Amino acid sequence: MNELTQYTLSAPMGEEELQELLAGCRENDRKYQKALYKSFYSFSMGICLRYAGNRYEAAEVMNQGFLKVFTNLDKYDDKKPFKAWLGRIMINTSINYYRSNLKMAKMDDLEKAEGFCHHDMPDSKLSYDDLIAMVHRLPPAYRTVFNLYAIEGYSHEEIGKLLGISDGTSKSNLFKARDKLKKMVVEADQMADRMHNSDYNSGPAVNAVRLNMDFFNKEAVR
Amino acid sequence: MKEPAENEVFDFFRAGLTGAENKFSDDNWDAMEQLLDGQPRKKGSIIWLYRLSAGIAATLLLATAFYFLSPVTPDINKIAKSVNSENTNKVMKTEAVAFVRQGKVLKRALLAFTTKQRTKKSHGGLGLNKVIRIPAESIGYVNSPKNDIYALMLNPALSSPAKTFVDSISPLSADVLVEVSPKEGIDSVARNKKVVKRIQGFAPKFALSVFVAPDINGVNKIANGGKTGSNFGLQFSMQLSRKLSISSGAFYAVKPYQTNTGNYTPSTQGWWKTKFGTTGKPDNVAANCEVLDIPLNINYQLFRKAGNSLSVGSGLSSYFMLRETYHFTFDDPSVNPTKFEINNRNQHLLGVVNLNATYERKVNSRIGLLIQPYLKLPVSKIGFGQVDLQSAGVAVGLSWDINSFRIK
Repeated sequence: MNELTQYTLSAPMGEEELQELLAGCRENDRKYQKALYKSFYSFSMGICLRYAGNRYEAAEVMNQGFLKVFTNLDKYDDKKPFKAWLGRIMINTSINYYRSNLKMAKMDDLEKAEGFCHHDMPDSKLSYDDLIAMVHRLPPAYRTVFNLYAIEGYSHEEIGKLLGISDGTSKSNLFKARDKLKKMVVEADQMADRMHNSDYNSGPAVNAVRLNMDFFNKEAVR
Repeated sequence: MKEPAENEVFDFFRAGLTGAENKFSDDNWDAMEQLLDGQPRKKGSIIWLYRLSAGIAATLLLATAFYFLSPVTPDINKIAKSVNSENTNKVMKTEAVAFVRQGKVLKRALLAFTTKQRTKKSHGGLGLNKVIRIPAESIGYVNSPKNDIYALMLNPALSSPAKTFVDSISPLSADVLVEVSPKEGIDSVARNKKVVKRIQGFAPKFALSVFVAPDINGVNKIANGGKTGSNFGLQFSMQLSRKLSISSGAFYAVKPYQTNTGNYTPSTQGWWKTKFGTTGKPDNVAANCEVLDIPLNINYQLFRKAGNSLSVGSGLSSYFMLRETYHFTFDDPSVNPTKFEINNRNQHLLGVVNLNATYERKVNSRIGLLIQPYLKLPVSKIGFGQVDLQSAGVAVGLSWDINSFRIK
């Protein structure tokens, strides 16, 4: 097991080491499976977190994705980058997980989001957790298109084909996602400003972003 | 080209969301290990579920059959013989409930119930379903030329528990109920014979039923990647004779299934190549079909006692494929799945054989509770993929006897 610990580090893995890990996984050796899982955990979780509605679902989807990886390793073409292959599996598993929700489109969501397009993007510095929380608050249909287009770089045509929706629906969902995300960032910024001013005048210092998230959580509950 | 504002928001999130470190969680690995350990059992669980539901359906059928086949008849014969040998006066001394039972066993009988026998259990076993009340100091019997009149005759001196008993069973069991006014005597029974005759003649009955049914759908074999679907709909049935009836209706069914593309033959030639080009033929297809199912069945009643009946039915269904949605996936999970959807393209007239057994329990004279295990086996190939899509399920429903008012 000791010789495997080196793979669990997040440092880039050499091709030879990767091939050794994959060979062990093809033999269904649990030690090698764990090592591969650990090595690509952060990368895979990063993808699944963006597509999921919360961390629990992200973990579930990621494990489903890894199960596909472990049971389909014989289909992996060694000449192509493993990370890209794994990433596509995570994306496909995420999409399949939420497939039944992907056609959802609510007009009232759009209406609520309107009015923020004219705002400039504030110069906020939000943490990774804050941004993930904002993405989680998007409806699955918007979230998926946002991820595929803005992060993965798919075209609307490709998204339409992948999700079984029209190009128009893909565009519409993307704009709605964009407006809602922008609204969240603007509100977080305004809230941070208010907290900053109130901190400046009196009272102890507080973590403005953390308060912003409290605000979101309450709104989500409502 | 993207709008600047679009880039602004997306760039902001892209920068913040990519490259972050997600800390490894031992809990998630534990869940992963369970998934890896449980993988072979997972496939079996669907078959296990299917077997369980088939077992429940079979047990239900056996229990129902056992109920009907349980030896009630010898007891009645015994009672009937003893009572027949007695004279009517003797019977009069008892709180007498007499009836003629359908079938070969009794043509004419007077039966004396003891207090103990006047229970709902004895009623259930004896299976009255046509009732004549004769109060007012008389007893009597109805001679049935066709062996098919059920009559219940009461001694005037019936105690109130006995009356309660009769009142309680009559609405449950009466297809025919002739009441004689309290002052009429045994002659009135004779007068009522014509009434009885008229009502014993066959009149077609109509019933409307509403069903919901979960079922399992599979290609070639029901357990083959069996997926749970749902059905609901209305059925209209008409009785042709005492035993035979026909039924038809309209059911909306959602039939999901999963199969290897080896079992899937697109009805358009060369479709694989046109659709997938260089990617090659996909390996699996997950389908979700919305179907309008129009069945035409003939049913034969095996048993009917008291408020319970059991029938078997068979016939043909026409499938109108309202919407067919297919997700094609490849063995290599990194190749994106592809969706294909068509609406109202395929119809299969009388293309599916129906087999079913129906247990009906009358809740009252008009409403019945139905439990119907069924099988649907296609004789033509179903849908765009021309698959042998089989379904098995258990429908539950309510039936409403449309002309029950007329019989009274």
